[in-house]
Amino acid sequence: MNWVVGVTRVFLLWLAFAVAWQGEVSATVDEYPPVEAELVSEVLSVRPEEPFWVALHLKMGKGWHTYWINPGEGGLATKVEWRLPDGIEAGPLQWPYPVKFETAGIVNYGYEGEILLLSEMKAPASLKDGDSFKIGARAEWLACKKICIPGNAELKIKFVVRDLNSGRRNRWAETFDKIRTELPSDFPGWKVGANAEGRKIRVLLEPSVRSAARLKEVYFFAEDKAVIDYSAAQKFLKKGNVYYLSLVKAEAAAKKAPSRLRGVLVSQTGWEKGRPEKALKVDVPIQ
Amino acid sequence: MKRYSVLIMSLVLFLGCGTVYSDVAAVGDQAPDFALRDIFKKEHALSDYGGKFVVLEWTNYDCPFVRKHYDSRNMQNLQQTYGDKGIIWLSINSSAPGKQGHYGSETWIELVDQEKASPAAVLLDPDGTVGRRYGAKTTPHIFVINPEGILIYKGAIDDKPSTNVTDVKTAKNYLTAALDEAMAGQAVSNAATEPYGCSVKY
Repeated sequence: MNWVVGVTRVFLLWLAFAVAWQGEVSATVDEYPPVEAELVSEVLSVRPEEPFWVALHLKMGKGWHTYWINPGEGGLATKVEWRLPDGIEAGPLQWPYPVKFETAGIVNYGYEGEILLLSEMKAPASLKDGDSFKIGARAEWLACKKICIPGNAELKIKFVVRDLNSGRRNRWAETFDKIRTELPSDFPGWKVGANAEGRKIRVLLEPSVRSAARLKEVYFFAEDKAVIDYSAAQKFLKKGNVYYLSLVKAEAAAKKAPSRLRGVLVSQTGWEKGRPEKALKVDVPIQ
Repeated sequence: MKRYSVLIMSLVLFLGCGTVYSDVAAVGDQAPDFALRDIFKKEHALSDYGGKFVVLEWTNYDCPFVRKHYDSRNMQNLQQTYGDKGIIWLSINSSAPGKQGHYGSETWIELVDQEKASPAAVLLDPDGTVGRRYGAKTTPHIFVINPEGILIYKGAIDDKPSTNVTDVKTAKNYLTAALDEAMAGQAVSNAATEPYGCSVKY
């Protein structure tokens, strides 16, 4: 009798192990879920009337990517819908400059590895020391590798109000600092213009300060859809003191010409000597 | 003389490049003819359907954007409605062997049956030749060809780039707008839009 129980136990154990092991294997094969999402904060506590930064942190599985505000040819931009308590206001979602993916001639803009999509929150004066509140968000994304899998999550993060001056940066603060250097910035030392001729859109870049970096390689990420042809080559050249980047208009823009060029110009050598930022914010009329 | 030949050579090269550039079918162009086998191994050429409106629907049944339009029965309804009006609807799959959405004929027959899809044919383009010739970038990506063989619409199926089934109802459908205008003898007002979806798995 004992022997039978023993064998049954061993069998059950084996069965449990086999089931668990199979589960493990299929999880590896599918690499599911390809994206982990959470809300993270730069600060440990919040002060009345002092803005604070919150971000959606996406961690992509190896080889998977999610998309920028303009995903390019196919794909889908990540969406964040904030759930805010009374008095808290969210600033616009800030997107670090993306990378370009090219598969079989199809061009996409997005992120690999880890990314933070940031938003600056406004805190009201009415917050009292010791109060606590939660910020929530519904995040939706599309993750692609060889296949695409849509994902979403309801996320929450808790804050306490502490009227302290120091010791408020949490472990994410350094990542926030780093990511902020990847947000498109204005460089007053550069004059930017754009004009259209036939199917071409030409971007003109003229340095007006001595501290301007020498440009070697520049790529334009269009923020709006139906403005440029993503898979057409971007031709970069220098004439005298002025740099030119030649883009091809999107076929969908053939009839109704776009009136503004908005997006990000990324220079591998940066824009200003001694500054790490590579992304220049572009928002100019197309003449 | 030598100088002239260099000039002519450069001109030839230049024109050659121009040809490569315009190789992708654009709205207003004569739609490039092609011949592909369907899932029953029957060959279909675009020229077989001269004198009729033809819809080309790039598809990949495993793509979430395509799923949106099949799970909501939007695509099947469009195939049925316009098929009844005499339009030739060709679904085309350009997934390369080993890539997502590539299936053998027998599996395709089962899948089309399961979806209750009713295009005139589902054509297989595993080497991607026809997809590249048309500049098909996404699934879905829609092309409309008029009875004279001119490409009159190229782009998205509708104006809601998402994978949410509920968006189908509220979206403005560019394909029906283009077909209805063209069939009423009017010019297509939105002839080129930016497609959305999964990338074609060339």
